[in-house]
Amino acid sequence: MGLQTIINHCETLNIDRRRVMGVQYTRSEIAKISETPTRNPWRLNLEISAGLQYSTNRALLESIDYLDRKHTEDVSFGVAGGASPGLSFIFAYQGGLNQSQLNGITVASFSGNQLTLNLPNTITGAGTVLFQSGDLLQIQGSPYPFSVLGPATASGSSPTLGPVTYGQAQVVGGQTQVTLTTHRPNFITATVAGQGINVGNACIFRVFCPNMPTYKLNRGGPDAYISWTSGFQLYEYLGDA
Amino acid sequence: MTYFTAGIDAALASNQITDAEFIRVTVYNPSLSSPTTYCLSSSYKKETFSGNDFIDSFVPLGGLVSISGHQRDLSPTSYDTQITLIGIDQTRIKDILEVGWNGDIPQTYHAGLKGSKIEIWRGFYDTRYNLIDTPQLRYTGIVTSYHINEDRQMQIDTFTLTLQCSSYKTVLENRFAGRHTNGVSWNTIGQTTVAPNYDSNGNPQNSAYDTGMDRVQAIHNTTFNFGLPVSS
Repeated sequence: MGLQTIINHCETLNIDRRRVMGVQYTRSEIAKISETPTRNPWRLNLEISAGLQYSTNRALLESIDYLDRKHTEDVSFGVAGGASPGLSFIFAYQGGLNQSQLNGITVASFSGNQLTLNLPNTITGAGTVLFQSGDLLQIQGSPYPFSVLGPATASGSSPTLGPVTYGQAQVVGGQTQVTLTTHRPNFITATVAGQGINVGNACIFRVFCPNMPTYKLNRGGPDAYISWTSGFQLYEYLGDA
Repeated sequence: MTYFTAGIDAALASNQITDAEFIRVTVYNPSLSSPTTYCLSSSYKKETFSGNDFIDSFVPLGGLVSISGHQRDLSPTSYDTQITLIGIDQTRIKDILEVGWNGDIPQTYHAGLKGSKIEIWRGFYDTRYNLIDTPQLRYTGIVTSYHINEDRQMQIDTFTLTLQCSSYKTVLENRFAGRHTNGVSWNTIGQTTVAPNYDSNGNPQNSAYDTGMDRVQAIHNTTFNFGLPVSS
């Protein structure tokens, strides 16, 4: 719970999902953009003040020392994952489905950045919003969150930003499906078809901290405040994908 | 044979290109009858495609792979490139060293990367991150040199392997070729030598024997004063 504790007490959270690309401009100032198709890991940069006391956080320090720059930790922004309740707004699910309906969704296919989901027949009523742009989605068994960029509708029109409503879903082979565009392509080597999904705060991030800062005990005896040499730059670990 | 397809042409004409490099290293190991190949790429997932004589899956290493720029010429030219691999496991460093005895496994040798064949393809992706047709082969050469760099700063230890590669054209330019100008070598065809079979007068009896170089040995290091009038 080392990094989770840091997340719970951080002052600021910087989310960096920039992809690897180069931009060049022609003499006529036309931009030429070249992108390398990477796995685009989540990078979470945390700033934390010297507010934690030594006497109550020795276990935290031991955990931080163990993690070092090598080991990973699964962190969450949901209460069930160990996060403070005040953080749950960050990745809260924005759709209109209840948990039972979400539990009935399975993956039909995931190719490139096109994720097709099988919808349960418990979802009724056209206009039901399934996902809003920015919703987190994770395939069960694989700790890699994908965000919903926008829908690719059943009619095959170009993806546009906006909510995915039930009315846009299509029926394929007797199964109602919807295809989403995710923020990064599928790099999971395990079979994803048939797997369930986690959404919103049920998603976890498997991260490590390549710049793991060291700490200093200020004056104050057992209740000394702990200060850190830098912020925590958490980096999603994708080596097991 | 891969072709420059209309799909790739359209991707190149676009102002937004998504592309990855695919590298195939063929390592010739003296202790194995067939070479070992390593296929890696800067893509996000494993891609499989076929070349002239192979079908291979290219392992994604993402940003761990870096390839220097390539020259673009209309005619074949000689140029070098280099491939940088970052994050090498320290225990595997020995695998890239020169050919030699492998102390870890009896009766085996390190293959060594020097002299290995390098092929580089470039693949293009569409907006949904699917590979467009077959990647294009753009470089064939061999590893002529390498260097391993260890960057240790306090407790941060990073290894970088850089492969210096020369194109096949450079290799061919540096090749020495020719034949020895003596009678025996001149009459050697493959692994067999045509017998001279001279008679007692010194005349060759074997019609297959070429006498063209037989006198070279006699005139070797002999000084001729060209230009003198003939004495008799």
